[in-house]
Amino acid sequence: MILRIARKEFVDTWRDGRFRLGALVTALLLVTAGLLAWRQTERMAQEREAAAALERENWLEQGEKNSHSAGHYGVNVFKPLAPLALFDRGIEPFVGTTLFLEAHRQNQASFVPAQDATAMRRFGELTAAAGLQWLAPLLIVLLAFGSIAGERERGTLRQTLSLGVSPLQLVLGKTLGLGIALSVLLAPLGVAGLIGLSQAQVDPAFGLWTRAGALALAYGLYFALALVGGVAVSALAPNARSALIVLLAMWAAGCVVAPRLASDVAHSRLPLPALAEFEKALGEDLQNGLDGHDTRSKQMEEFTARTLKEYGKSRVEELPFNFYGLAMLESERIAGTVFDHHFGALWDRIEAQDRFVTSCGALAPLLALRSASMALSGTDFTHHRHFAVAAEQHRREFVRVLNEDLKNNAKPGDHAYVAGRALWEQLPQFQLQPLSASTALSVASSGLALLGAWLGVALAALLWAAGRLRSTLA
Amino acid sequence: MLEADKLTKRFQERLAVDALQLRVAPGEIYALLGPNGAGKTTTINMFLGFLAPDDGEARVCGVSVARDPVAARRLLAYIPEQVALYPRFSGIENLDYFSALGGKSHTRQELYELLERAGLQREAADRRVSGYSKGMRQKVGIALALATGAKALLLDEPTSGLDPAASHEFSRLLRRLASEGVAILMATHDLFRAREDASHVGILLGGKLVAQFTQRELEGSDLEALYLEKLRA
Amino acid sequence: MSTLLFEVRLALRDRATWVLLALFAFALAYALNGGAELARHQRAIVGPALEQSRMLDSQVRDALQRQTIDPRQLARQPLVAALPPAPLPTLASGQADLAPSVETVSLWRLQTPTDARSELENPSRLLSGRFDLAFVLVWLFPLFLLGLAYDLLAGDRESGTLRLVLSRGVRPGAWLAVRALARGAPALALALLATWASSWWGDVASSAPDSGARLAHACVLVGAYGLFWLSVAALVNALARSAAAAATALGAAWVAVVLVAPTLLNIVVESLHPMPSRAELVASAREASGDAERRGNEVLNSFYRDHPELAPPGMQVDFAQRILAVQEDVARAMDPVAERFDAQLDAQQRIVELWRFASPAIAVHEALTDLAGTGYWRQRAFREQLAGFKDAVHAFFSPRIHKNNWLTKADADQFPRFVFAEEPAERWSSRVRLSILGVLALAVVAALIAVSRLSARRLAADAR
Repeated sequence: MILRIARKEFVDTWRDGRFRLGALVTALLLVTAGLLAWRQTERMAQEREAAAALERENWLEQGEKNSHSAGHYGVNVFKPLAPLALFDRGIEPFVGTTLFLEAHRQNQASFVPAQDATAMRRFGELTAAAGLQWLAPLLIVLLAFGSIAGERERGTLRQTLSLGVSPLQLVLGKTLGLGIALSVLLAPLGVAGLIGLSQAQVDPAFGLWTRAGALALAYGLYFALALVGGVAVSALAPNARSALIVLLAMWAAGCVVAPRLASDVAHSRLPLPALAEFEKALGEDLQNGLDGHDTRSKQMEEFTARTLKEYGKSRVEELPFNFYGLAMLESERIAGTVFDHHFGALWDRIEAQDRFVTSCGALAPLLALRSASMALSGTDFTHHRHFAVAAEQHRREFVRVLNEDLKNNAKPGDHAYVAGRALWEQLPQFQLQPLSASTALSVASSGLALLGAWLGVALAALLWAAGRLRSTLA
Repeated sequence: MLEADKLTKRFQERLAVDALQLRVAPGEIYALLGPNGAGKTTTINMFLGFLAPDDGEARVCGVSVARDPVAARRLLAYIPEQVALYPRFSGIENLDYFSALGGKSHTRQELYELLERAGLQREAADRRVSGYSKGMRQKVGIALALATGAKALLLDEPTSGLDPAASHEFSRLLRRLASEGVAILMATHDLFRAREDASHVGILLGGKLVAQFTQRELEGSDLEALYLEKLRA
Repeated sequence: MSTLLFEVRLALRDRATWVLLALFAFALAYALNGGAELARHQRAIVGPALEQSRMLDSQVRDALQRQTIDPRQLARQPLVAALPPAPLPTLASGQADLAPSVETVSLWRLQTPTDARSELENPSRLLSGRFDLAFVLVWLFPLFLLGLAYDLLAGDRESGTLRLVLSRGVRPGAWLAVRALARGAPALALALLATWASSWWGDVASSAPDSGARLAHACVLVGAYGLFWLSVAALVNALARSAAAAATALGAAWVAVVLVAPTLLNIVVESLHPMPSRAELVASAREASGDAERRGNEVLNSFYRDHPELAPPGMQVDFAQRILAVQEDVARAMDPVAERFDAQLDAQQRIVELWRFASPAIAVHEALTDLAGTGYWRQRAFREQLAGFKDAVHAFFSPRIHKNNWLTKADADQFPRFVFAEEPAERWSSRVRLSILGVLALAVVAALIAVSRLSARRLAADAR
């Protein structure tokens, strides 16, 4: 019986010109978004690869110089694009793409793409994910608002129930039929997307298929809850018009207002320091040490004394290696703990804000979906932090190798020491090991759980509405 | 067979149907007359199980509606004033769908025959119902009653708004259904049709049945005069 | 007039009207608070920078009164260039949370256009955008207006009141206009009130001399935008057969105008004028500087060959002169590359200017950020003036360092200092006026079509 109702609902929907128009527009937008994103990400990947190759050449061709000077010359690393960025660009337009690695300093990634765009960009970008997050629910509202309320107005609801169909069978059948209509629209797009993905060359460590599967689950839950909720509202509303108004209001509140509101509230509850404050605190701690009573110079004096005592010498020039190399190593070690402390705290705070926004998904499911989608696509802050941390590790290793060289190969007191290409070649090029799919899943899990809970609530509302259906007929 | 046994429904303080006793035997057409608000539609809603009675019981062929509404509805067919159909479906598709919901499936040929018995031509059956007249919709309703093999038929203002020819054709169909043993309860304002078609006429006022006549009792008398007299009383 | 009052009373008798108006008022107040907070934050960043720049400048001038200074030493001190707070920041946050407003200019460092570090901000907040007044006015205001006016006619058509009204001999066009105004008036009034409040809300009163004129333009703009949406509601109602159909059509119109059109325009803009790659810029700048440094002496020699007037007496080349020469060489190679970014951005903005009337939401948002001073134009003026300042710094130090001339009292007046010059009022007002006229024209067109579709005969025939 449910299947019979579903079939009728599907055919009825498919014959509706408004649905076909809406579906056509949605499909066109999604396809356009997909193709453009594909072209754009391909171009950007090429640009970054070319730049990385050029930068490597710059590094190798820098000529002979003191190995510590080479540390100051530094190297730029470029953030590689996550393969699923073409589905969901996430925060990519709003984080830096280039990180300058140099001796003594941990920098922040610079060159935020959105700074190189007109203010129009702030209206949002048309990506496949945006289409599915914003427009698809709107199409679902269009599908669902009249599903029960419209039949009540037309009288077919009385007619149907007078034939001995139970209200539960009716609402489930209708939901199923609409779900099939929606799948007929979305499934081909999904399959096309998967075929496209299978062509891409992706590091297996990224876990493309695990991520794609979890993405499908997240969006599936989202559409299901929109559909079930829509039918439930339609069953509870006195007429199709009220159902439509209520659903549109819910959509506007959940999809338009909620993201901005949640971000604002997250910021006021968990504020970030201003850049000047952050740099002041960082500078003070670099100078005075994390605990605040051992200044850097005092720490270095003690380190010198300790080293001299260890080797039983009275002057650093008598040490069997270049002491300045060792001192640089020690100074980097101390600075590293300060950087870890400050950047760690800053990034923890940003992640806490993001978690807060995700938890607002309990009120607006879009927020839960958005955070899961970005995490799984590899375009959320956790992935950006992973890049920044990996680049910083690379920086420390690269500075360490240079300072070790200074320590071991420069004669004590020899300020004219230079290293050459042989040393530069010892330093590997930066390679980002992608964040594993399991980490991404654990970040996305709270969003997925919230979406699951929402679907449960929507189903409960549908059952309740079905129970009330008969009493609204007389 | 349709039976109302002390059937009572209250809306807040107002008694909409007051201990109604009613019995429509197979083959009978019972016309329920009464002013607006007399409780006609409420009675039909209770037979359909859309309203739960506060007291008493409605039975369809002995099945209590309150106890087993789905089984009771399986024995019924219901034709409202405006037969509700899906506009984007043709007549035959609507019939197919609704009879399947009623638990009966038919071949396409059988469905055409049912519609033809109800007076709808084959070429009309294939058109979308958004272009149907009221009379054509009611023919689909009758075909549905035929398709589900209903033992009892509930009609709510079936002839209002029909032109005389359509109205005449409709009552011919009703009489044929009755002759096949269907019990028919019809709420109506159409005194002319009630007098022509009904085997029994009941006048409902304030939820009470204030008068009942058989067709024989009405012979030679003026139904309109009787009705107005009862209303004034 | 009495019809108008009657209609307003009728609308206010509906509880839904009050709920919508209360929500709208709340959203406006919340946005004003958020805008004021951003304005305060900006002030906290820019204020000290402006102060620092002023201090440094007066210190240098004072010092030069007493002594001569080695230009190489002074050039080591980075100079601060700060963009003063925007004239009406509470109105629209625009790019204020993204575009740097404080930059340092130093002779010894190679600079790229966005070398300044951005403020610390959660990128997902940048992605969501701020809940600012421009958001409430451009995105939500139409939704509230449509919520109040979506069944302008369709509801009455369904209930049959329409036939009754028309049977009284009312002119349908005038009646519809009065009705639309009556339904929209309370929300329109709230929107205008909030626009006006953006100049004083939250203790960040604007000090810009033309802020009054900017505010007046903003109010007219918001009014025109409201009228546009009311006209659209009237048009849809003139055509739609049921209230549900009208609501669907208006919802679709809103999505098309506010959500879809801007993102499509973004696509057009970025496909026609894609930005060059910053990554490549960085790498090739390093390549150029590496080249120049390796050829250091050679570069310097050829420099003095080109500029014999700058060669120091006896050609004693020091470290500073060498760096300067290398930098000039790099700048010669890189400036055209860097300018490509500005050229592309200009080209993108020209397309936006041209196509802004494809969606009034774009036109209004652009104009609001323009009026607020947080949009493209003021930022561009800052970038241009900054580039000029960098040139001035270079022009001041370069000959003095090359010639090894120490700075004296006479140089104090020429010592460069960054002072941002605001755009003259005619410039921004001509842009904004065009937007206002465009939006009004669209409103009038929609209203005219609505009225032309509304003969009494048609309505009576429909209202079955």
